[in-house]
Amino acid sequence: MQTDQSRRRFLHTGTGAVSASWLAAQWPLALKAAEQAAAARDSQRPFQHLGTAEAKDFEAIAARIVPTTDTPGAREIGVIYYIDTAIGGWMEGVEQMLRPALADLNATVTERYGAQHFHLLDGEAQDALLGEIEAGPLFQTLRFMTLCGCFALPSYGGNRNRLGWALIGFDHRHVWFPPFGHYDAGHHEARAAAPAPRQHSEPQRHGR
Amino acid sequence: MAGSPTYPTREAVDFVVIGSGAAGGVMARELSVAGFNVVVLEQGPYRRAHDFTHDEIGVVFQGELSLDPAEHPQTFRARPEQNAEVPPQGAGLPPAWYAAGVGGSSVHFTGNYWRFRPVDFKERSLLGEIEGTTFADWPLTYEELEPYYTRVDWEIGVSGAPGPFDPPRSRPYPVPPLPLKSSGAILERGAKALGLHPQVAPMAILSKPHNGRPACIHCGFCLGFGCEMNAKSSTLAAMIPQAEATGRCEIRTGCTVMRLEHDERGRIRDVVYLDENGVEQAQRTRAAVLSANGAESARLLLLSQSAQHPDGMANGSGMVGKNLMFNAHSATHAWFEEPLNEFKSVQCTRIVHDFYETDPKRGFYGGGGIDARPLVNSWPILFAMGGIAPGLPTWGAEYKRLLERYFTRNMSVLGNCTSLAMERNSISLDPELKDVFGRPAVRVTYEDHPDDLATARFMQDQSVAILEAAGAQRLWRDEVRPSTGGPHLLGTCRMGDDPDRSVVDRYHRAHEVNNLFVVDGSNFVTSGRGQPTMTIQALAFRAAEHMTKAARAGEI
Ligand SMILES: Cc1cc2nc3c(=O)[nH]c(=O)nc-3n(C[C@H](O)[C@H](O)[C@H](O)COP(=O)(O)OP(=O)(O)OC[C@H]3O[C@@H](n4cnc5c(N)ncnc54)[C@H](O)[C@@H]3O)c2cc1C
Ligand code: SF4
Repeated sequence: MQTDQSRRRFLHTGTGAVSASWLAAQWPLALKAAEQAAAARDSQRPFQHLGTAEAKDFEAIAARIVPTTDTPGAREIGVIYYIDTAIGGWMEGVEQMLRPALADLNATVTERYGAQHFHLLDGEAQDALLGEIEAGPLFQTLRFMTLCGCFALPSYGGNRNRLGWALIGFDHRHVWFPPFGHYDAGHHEARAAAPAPRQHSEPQRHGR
Repeated sequence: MAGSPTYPTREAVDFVVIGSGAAGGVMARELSVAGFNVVVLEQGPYRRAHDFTHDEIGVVFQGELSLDPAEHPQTFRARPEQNAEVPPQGAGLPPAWYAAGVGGSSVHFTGNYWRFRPVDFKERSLLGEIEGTTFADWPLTYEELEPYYTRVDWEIGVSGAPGPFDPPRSRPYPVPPLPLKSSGAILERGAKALGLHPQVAPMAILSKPHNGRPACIHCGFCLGFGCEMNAKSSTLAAMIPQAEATGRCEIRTGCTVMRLEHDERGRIRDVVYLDENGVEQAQRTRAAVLSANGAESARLLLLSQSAQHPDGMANGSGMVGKNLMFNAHSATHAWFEEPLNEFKSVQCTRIVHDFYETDPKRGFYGGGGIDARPLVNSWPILFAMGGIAPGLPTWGAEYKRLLERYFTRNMSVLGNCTSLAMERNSISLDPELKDVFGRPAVRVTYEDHPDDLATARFMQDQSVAILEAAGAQRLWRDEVRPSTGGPHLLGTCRMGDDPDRSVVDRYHRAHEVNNLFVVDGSNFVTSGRGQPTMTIQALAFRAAEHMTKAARAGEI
């Protein structure tokens, strides 16, 4: 009976749509999948875990969540590679929910629009359909995966060329120097010019 | 540096310290420096600075610094008459949240480090009884604890500068304040406009090199993450290396203590644990120090039943596990016109302590401190998940525009508040659910006192006023709701002079077991105003001094 301290697991998403089997995801597995996905992405090889059609559908959904505007969206950021990686790694098992839910969605697509796949619809129709399933597990899980695909470390397969981080103004550096932002900027200049504060070099008696 | 010893389990060491967190790290260092042989049993792993990452998925979503909730489930209920249940998956953090590993929760904490004020120790005398609570004075005063607060400042490593309401201090801070962040500047501006007295946030993070450790490099992955620089003053960085350097302290990790066993004279003789291979071991010892935190220390005592201690070790008072206090809190969020870039540097740089004390005019007991910080919105994924103001789109082009604009332009203001001690709020053993080792799971029973919630709402009103005065573009409140858990685990082995109403005496010795000491957040009599750890550690330094004297005098 040994706790595997290296085991990674899914703790909290706020989506409530998480499959228990994600807990079984092993970190080395996720890492390996991440490496494979990165290699696949770079060599334009097919996906490791996703079929071509479902990948197009998942990518189309991701692209409605974070659309391409005058800046890159989920498509350019490579979210689909994150999804491919996660399904084979730390979110392993989630495909058991995603695949049948996508089949249901595509059944509605066929019924309403006569098309076989969600990704074949135009943006307006896609948004209308997604609006209807917004609260459900398929959409909420894909929203979570899209955001991970945009903003997680690139080693998870997405966030290609750190485009996701660039989008929101996040920069992953280990060292920062003040001023950090607009509102503290003046303060550091003022302090640099002022004589060193005496406050913390003397005993203080401020009790009341 | 002396090598780490390996003590045989069947020969008694001077002290076994159970848990290596905020308190246990201090105990290990103090007792080994004093010349005693010490074994530290820690259930988590020994991570070093270079093991820590900026991996939001691993640390935040998979909770890799805490125990696996699938193996160590906890249950929750609001009231004793209800059935406790495991919170649904996806609901968030475990009810009793802590990090497991060398350094305990001091590894991933924020490091907001306020001293208590003199009033915290004697509020019951000043304010009188509060019905339905076990509100009481501490068996010690601020003046008695002051030298040990100063030791925390200097030996753990706290940056700061005095504020207008601070209690007296005998020595200045060892290192100056950390550089101001935009959230701190905004808090300062808003508070000053209201005539309040914003002050520097004391932080257990080094602004300058100190005690052979480097200064913070403002990486920003601070709350919830381990520090790759050893600049955060966890006991992992500040205490454990010094304990090991004595050559008298063995840190045994992956070792989960199962129970304490006493001899026929009622003295603890063996600390029984599962080693890293899951094999049961028993470390013989002359004395035991329980520093496993306010959830696990109580659980261990309750698990250590015997004919002499039918309701759990040292629990003749029935107080073990009772009086749990989480510190009520409020969170208020705001967006501003210009970038703040709160993803850089530490969490807090300014606080407001104008509302610290109970004001009878408010009509309820309680007070608190306000701080400004990014909270969890410095992490990109979590910001995208939940950082957009309520009522705005959560997907699509407009949502994306909001992400682009407000990741850099948001901040939060927290109200950190009191909790009243009540017997009905507790840690107990779940009667049905077991953990992976077959131990009854931690069961948390908790419902805030109405005054705690009133205090939190009051602090939120002040936070809103400050943010408005500072010119927030948009602001919104997280509704103050009854707590369903927390990272401050206080009160469950309270200290006191009366063996019928407390678990340990004023020097942390169990009333009923002469060679058992409990030293951690569980000893708190009142909750303070939300940042307990500076006081946990001041108490630990003081406890170690008295234990050293007692041991040398043959009184343990
Ligand atoms: C995210 C977060 C942020 C925080 N921020 C702040 C802050 O800004 N300011 C502040 O004052 N406080 C803060 N806290 C609270 C602070 O971390 C705790 O108050 C403090 O660490 C408690 O110290 P402790 O010694 O009682 O327990 P812990 O630090 O929890 O240490 C207990 C140790 O015992 C080990 N243990 C438990 N059971 C066993 C067993 N059976 N066998 C072996 N080992 C065991 C655990 O693994 C752990 O390492 C924060 C907490 C969290 C979680
Ligand atoms: S912000 Fe500073 S103290 Fe915090 S983790 Fe980064 S370097 Fe360490």
